[in-house]
Formats: sequence, C-alpha cells, structure tokens
Amino acid sequence: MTTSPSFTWTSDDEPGRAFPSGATYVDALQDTALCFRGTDLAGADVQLDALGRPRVISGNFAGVFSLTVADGTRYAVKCFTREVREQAARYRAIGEHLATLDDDWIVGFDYVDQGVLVEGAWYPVLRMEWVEGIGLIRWIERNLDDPAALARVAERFADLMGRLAAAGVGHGDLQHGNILVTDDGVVKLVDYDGMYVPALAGMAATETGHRNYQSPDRTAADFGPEVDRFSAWVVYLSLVALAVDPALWKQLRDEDAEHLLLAEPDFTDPAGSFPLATLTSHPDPGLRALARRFEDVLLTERAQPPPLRPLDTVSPGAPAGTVLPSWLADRLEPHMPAPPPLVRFAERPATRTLASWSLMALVPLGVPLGLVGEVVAAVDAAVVVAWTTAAYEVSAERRGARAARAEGRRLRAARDAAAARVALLEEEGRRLAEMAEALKEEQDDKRRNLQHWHNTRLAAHRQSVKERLDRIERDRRAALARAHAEEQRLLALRQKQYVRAELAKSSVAEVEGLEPAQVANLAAVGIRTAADFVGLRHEPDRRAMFVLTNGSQMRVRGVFTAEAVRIDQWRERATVAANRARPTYLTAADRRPFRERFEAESAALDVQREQVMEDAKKGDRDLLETLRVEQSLLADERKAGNTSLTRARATHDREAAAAARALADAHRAASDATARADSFHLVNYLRYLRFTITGKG
Amino acid sequence: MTYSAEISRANPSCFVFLVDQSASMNDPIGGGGQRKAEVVADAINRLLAELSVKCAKEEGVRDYFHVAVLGYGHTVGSAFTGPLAGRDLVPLSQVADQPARVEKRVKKVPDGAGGLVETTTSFPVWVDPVANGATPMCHALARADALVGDWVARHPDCFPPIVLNLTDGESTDGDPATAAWAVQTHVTADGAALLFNLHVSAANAVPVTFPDTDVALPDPYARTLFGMSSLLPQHMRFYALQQGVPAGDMARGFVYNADITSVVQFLDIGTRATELR
Repeated sequence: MTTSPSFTWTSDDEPGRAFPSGATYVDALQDTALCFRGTDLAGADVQLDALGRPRVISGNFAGVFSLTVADGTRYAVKCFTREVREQAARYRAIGEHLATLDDDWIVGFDYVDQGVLVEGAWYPVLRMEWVEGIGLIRWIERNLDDPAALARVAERFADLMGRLAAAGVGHGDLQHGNILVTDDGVVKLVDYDGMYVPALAGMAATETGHRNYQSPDRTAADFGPEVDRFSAWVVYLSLVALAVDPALWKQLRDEDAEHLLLAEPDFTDPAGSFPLATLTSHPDPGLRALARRFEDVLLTERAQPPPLRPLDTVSPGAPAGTVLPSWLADRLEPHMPAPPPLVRFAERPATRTLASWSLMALVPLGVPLGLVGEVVAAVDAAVVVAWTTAAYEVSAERRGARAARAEGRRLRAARDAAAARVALLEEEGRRLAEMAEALKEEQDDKRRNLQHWHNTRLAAHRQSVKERLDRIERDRRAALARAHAEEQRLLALRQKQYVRAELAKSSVAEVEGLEPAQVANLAAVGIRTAADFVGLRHEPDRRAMFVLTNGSQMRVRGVFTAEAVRIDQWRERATVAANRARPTYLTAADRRPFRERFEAESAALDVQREQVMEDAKKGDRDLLETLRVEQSLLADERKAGNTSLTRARATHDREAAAAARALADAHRAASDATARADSFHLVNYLRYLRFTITGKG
Repeated sequence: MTYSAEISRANPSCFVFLVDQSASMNDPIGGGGQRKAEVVADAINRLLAELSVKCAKEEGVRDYFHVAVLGYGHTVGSAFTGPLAGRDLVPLSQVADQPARVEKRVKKVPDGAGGLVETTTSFPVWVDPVANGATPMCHALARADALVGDWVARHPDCFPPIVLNLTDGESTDGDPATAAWAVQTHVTADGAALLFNLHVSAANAVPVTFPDTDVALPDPYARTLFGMSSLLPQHMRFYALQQGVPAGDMARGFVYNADITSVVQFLDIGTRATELR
C-alpha cells in the first residue's frame, strides 16, 4: 500500500518539463529586480533567513516566499517545483468559482503565467494574499489549556465543511498545514493546488493529499465535491477529542508528529490502533459515539466515506494542565486512587432478622428445662448457627465479598498471564537478536570465504600466467643465444678465409736468401705462397718436410732444414700479421639473416606474450565477474534474511508494546481488584452475628 | 519493500554523502576547465542546500534527515569544514544553520530579454574542494556501511538511508562492488538502503542520467559504478519522468558527468505545500 501522491502522468506519457528546484528558486529570488522583471513584484523585498538567503517554506511540489512590495503590501508567492498540466486553467476555474462565494475561509490569489525568471526561463507563480494565521498543530498546542476554544474551532470546522459541500468545492488536501486559524478564531484554508470546483468535473486530481488525512483507498480518480469527506472526519474527530480531553494530545501522539490524533496506520489497521481504541472507549459519551462512528467508516465505508455528521454540541472538558507525556504516563500510576471504603453489613431484611432473634431468644429459654432443656438449647443453638450461617451466606455483603475475591483471583491470574506473555516476548526478542547476530556472522563468514576462494583462484591464475610468460622469455633468450653462436661461427669462418686470402697474396720469393731454383722447386711441389703449407715436420737426421694444406708431407729438393725453418718462420710471421688484421665482426650483410631470423622468432614470441597477457586480463575479469556474481547473490541472500528478520522484529516490537500495555493495565486491574477484595475484610460470620444482634455493621 | 515510509521528525531518515578527495580529482572534468574536486564540492554544497530548502518549514528546517559527509583520499573521515568539522551524522537543522561560510558568487545570467546580466548569489559552503592521496573507496563504503547499519538498527521503520557517492571512480583499495553491496543489505521495514553514484570523469563523453543499462558508458569505472548503484524506487522514477528525465523500469541511481541534485526533488516528504507564511 502506498500513499505517495499518484500522478496524472503515467509511464506512457511523454516526460514533463523540468522545473527549478527549491534551492534554485532561493538563488533566483536573491535578485527580485531581475527575477520578477516586468511584474508588480519587481524589486520587492523578500524575507530572508538566518544566512541572509530568501526564506522559503517548502511543500512537496512548491516553495512559498514572503515578499513585500513598495506600497507595503505583503504577499505569499508560491513557486512550483514540478509541472502540473493545465495548472493555469485549473487555477482560473478555481478563482472564478471562489469569487462567487465570498466566504471567510478563502484566501485571495492571482495565478501569473509568466511569473518568475529563473536561469533565463519564465515559470508561473501563484501570488497570494498574506494571511496572519497559525497552522493547526501550532494553534492546538497553544490552546490546549482552552478547551472552549478547541470546541469552538471544532464547531467552526464542521460548519466550514458544510459550506464547502454546499458550494460544490473539494479542497483535496485538508491537513494541519493547510488549515490556518486566525487570532479571532476564523478557520482559513490555504493551498488550492489540488482543489475541485464544479468547472473541473471530469478531470483527475493532481495529488492525493497528505497520507495522515486520507483514506488508504483514495486515488487520483477521486476528484469531486466529496473528496474531503475522509479528512473532515479525521480533523473533526481530533478537534472534538481534544476539546473534551486535551490530555489526549500528549498521550496519543509523538512530539513533532506530522498528524493530529490519528495517522495512516490507524486507518489501515483500525483493529490494531491504540489511539482509535482509546477514543472509542473514552468515558465521554459524545466523543465515544463520534469515534465509533468513524471506526465504522474505517471498517465499512473507507472508500466512499459518508459526509461528516458533527455532534449537536461539543462539551469542553478540563484543560490539560500539567499533562505527562505519553511515554512517562505509562511509567507512573497517573492517579493513585484512594482505596475503596470498607464494606460493612448494612441491610437487615426484617423477616430474616426477626427469625434470627426468635431463635436466639429460645437459647436462654431452654436452659431451665434441665436435661431436656440442654438438649433443646444445643439443638436450638445449632439451629441458630445453621440459620444465621445460611442468612450470612445469602447476604449481599457476603455475596459481594465472594465475587470481589473471585474477581481478584481472576484478574491476578490474568496479570500473571500477561506477565508470562511479556516474558515470552522478551525471550522471543532475545532470540531474534541472537538470530540477527548469527545471521550476520554466517554472512560475514560466507563473505570472507568468497573473498578467500577468489584470492586462491586469482593466485592460481596469476601463477599460470607467470609460468607462461617465463617460458616465453626463456624461448626468447634461447633464440638470442642461438643467433649469437651462429654469428660467432660465421665470424670464425670469415676470419679464417681472410687469413687464407692474405697469405695467398704472399710469395715464397720474398723469403730472404732463397735461390730462384729453390723457389722453383718449392713451386713444383705446390708451395708458392704462405697459404700453401701449414708447417714443417722434422725427422731425426733428415731434412725437414713441408706439411701441405691438404695434409701431405714432402721434402723439397735443394731446400735444407735451415732454409725450411726460415721459410716456415716467414709463413708464421705472415700468419700473425694476417691474423692481426683479420675482421673482428661480421658485416651487416653477413649478420642480416641471423638478425632476421631472431626478429621473426621474437615477433612470434611477442604474439604469444600478447595472447598470454590478453588471456590473463580476461581471466582477471572473469574471476572478478564470478566474484561479483557470487557476492551479489550473497548480498541478495543477506538482504532477504535481513528483510524477514526486520519484519519479524517489527511484528515482535508491536506485540511487545501491546503486551507491555496489557500488562500495565492488568497490573492496575489486579491491584484495584485486590483493594476491592480487601475492602470486604470486615465481612465475616462473627461480624454478621454481631450485626444481626446489634445492627452495627 | 515499498519505499513509501513517511519521512517525518518522528521517523527521520539519513543521508550519507561520500566525496572522493583523491589526487586524481585535481584533473579537469571532461570538456570543461573546472577541476573534478571543485565540481564535486559544488555538487555536495548544492545537495546540502537543496536538502535544507526541501525540509524548510514555518519554524525553520526540520530534522527529516540526519546527514553525514565523508571524504576519502589521504584519509577517510568527515569532510565538513567550519563548525561541523569532524562530525559524522548531523541533524539537518544544524547543517542548515552552520555552513562554514556563505560565499558571494557573481555570475552572468540571461535577463529574459535576450541579453546577459551580472547577478550575485550567496552560496553556503560546507565542504571545500580537496584533492590529495589515493582513492580508498572501499574503506569509505565500509564507513558508510557502519553508519547505515547503526542507523537502521535505531530506526527500523524509517525510509531507508541513502548513500550518495561522488567520485571519478578509480578506487585504489580494491573492487568497490563488494563494499557497495554490503551497504545495500541493510534494510528497514520499508526497504533496503539505497546507494547512488555520481561519476565525474575527465573523459569528454556524453553525460548520462539514470541509465538502465551500461552499454553506453564509456569506461570500466563507469560500468563498475553503474553496477553497484541501486535501482531507482518507483516513485523516484515517476518524479524523474515529471522532470523530463526518462527513467525506465531498470533505471539505476547513477549519473555520469551530470547533475544529481535532482534526487533531493525525488524525496517524498510527508507534508505538502503548507503554511502561506
């Protein structure tokens, strides 16, 4: 069930036009020359708040400012914070209809279509006559010690409702804030945004009124002269109740509450309403009857309430005086009643008394008759006892005592039962608190577990990513090492080729002291340059042999060992010189194939790496997504748990409050009953005998 | 679970604002020169002013709400400056009466005749822009969680507390979704606590208001914040619609680089337009 205002908009309608917010109007009204440019309000003095900003009184859909123009006239200017369709037409119709009435509840107004300039756009305002009056709640609080004034305003209000109905007008939002009372006690109605007048027949309501004054069944379709009926009952019943018993104000209502004596929960659940029960069982018969009539409305005619039927007269009660606040009233015995007066025997039915006397008179008479007389006396005494006992038992006082004691026993049993229920509910409350604690712990555990699982999964995922990256880096290092080794091998080859080529450029003829014949002989075995042999082989007592490049060994005619050694030394020197000049690095062309292969391999590894990183990110995302899904499920579970627990707690709190109230009542009832029973302690047989004889109670 | 409980002094509700004050808030907002920290401070000051106005009645601002403003950045704690510094939940009437200062702000506004005119507005300030340190959003949500849990235990029938988080989304102390869901598990007889998010971003993307899907959101931060925002209760969607913001059945309390002050207008406060004084 909701009582938030319903709208003339539905979700099928196009969106509305954005209206300035309350604070935006406060900004705009800091320059009244600008914002009211070209209207009669231009340059008006706006009432300021403590911060020196325009002071506003906000409603749900508008803010009202106080403006005083040059001639001293003061206006209430209403600025709207939401668009209401056909607002101008509605106000025109309302204005025209009210003009025909000339009643004292009416506050004059002008609807100005182009009323206020805010951030470059014009918006309508409602310029209203300033009313010196007080809102109903504040007025009531000031008049709690004047029940007659309360009764008068109740009567005036009822009368006003009659005049509205006769004029075919429905205010639409009757509530404490829209009902002002002036110094001379005139009731004024303000805020006509939701007002019905006959010219608006067929349209829908723009709002459904204040929740604490409206039937739970009211919808936007309820828009006619009868729209105020329910709220009229609510306001009138409260005013009458307060006139009769002003103490109810603090007993039935929280300080600062936004309602009179009854509020929305009392309308939706009348059976469970303490305020309503208090009013329907109030000692004042007029108030009681009125409250019961309203209770009937709630139970059977909530959707179509009948018109208000006011009491013929409202009889004001005693002023509230020093009323205890309701929370304290429950804790103190509000009035300690004096114990009931002691009950004494009061009424002696003539015949029964006469019979008792006669029987008692016989006792002494029987004595002189001797033995027989004693028997007679004994019998007579027995008869007297039997007779008076019987008479005592049927006496009103004895019956009263029995009833009072039985009632006392019953009420004490009821009190004990109420106490047991309170104890049971306290236990239940503890159990609910424990359940809440357990639920919280369980959920915290689950949450920690989820996080732990997530961390574990994430760690495993990151480890596998790291391993794949490590492998790629290993492969890359291996490729680089391979390329390097191959370059080195080629470099060695190139160096060998260079030395060989350099040596091939030489000629053995260069060797000092060699005869041309020796040179020719050397050439005959293929030794022309230093490149053609690699060394000497010495054998004892024989000439040294040249070792040729192809490994064969031969002696050269005419070349003896000493010359051979010199030739070999020449070769070695040439080799050293060539080695010294050999290239130490590869040419770019030589290197290119290795570089290219490495780069290709490296690029392939980059692709792999990219893929791994991509997979890693996706893995992270997937894991986070999984965690979020799990967590959101857990949060839903927790929310559901909290919701059912909160409901159980709300039910429990309501029952506990009712049980505490019932226990306090039962306590009072039981102690009253005990006092009543105690007041019969003088009612016993002996005293009855004395009473019968002497007539003293 | 109807979000229809009466909001009154006898049955008040609570608001917990979380304000990102991390170093990244020094960056400018998308498409504008203003720093994110300033945007967020302005937003929170406007929200507090709006809430005060919403609850202003004949005799002053009523305590329909108790309000906490927690900053998170270098530390997590009360972001109030001035007389309220250091306090967490403060009754709204005290908030309304005790801003740190009232600034005069000069701005050019349309004069209604096609021109511009300079005008001065006084603007109450409760929270200053701060940008310093990391973004411990999880920690901040945990603080909100504790405040909300405590409030709900003391007001089991109230309109559920609303937690409104203003941030650039880049939590540095873990995935905020967990902490966000924890906040929303607190329930009163009227419904679960609500978590709304305002995302201010340096990206110059299209502003988004109360979306019902995250497909149009430009980055993972926005999607995370969307995912952790509560569904808008039905009556709030109706009010949004009335204000020209189409909010679908699955619309969430999430706003991207746009104004979120409107949520205050969505609050349905028991008493309507009242005393004409």
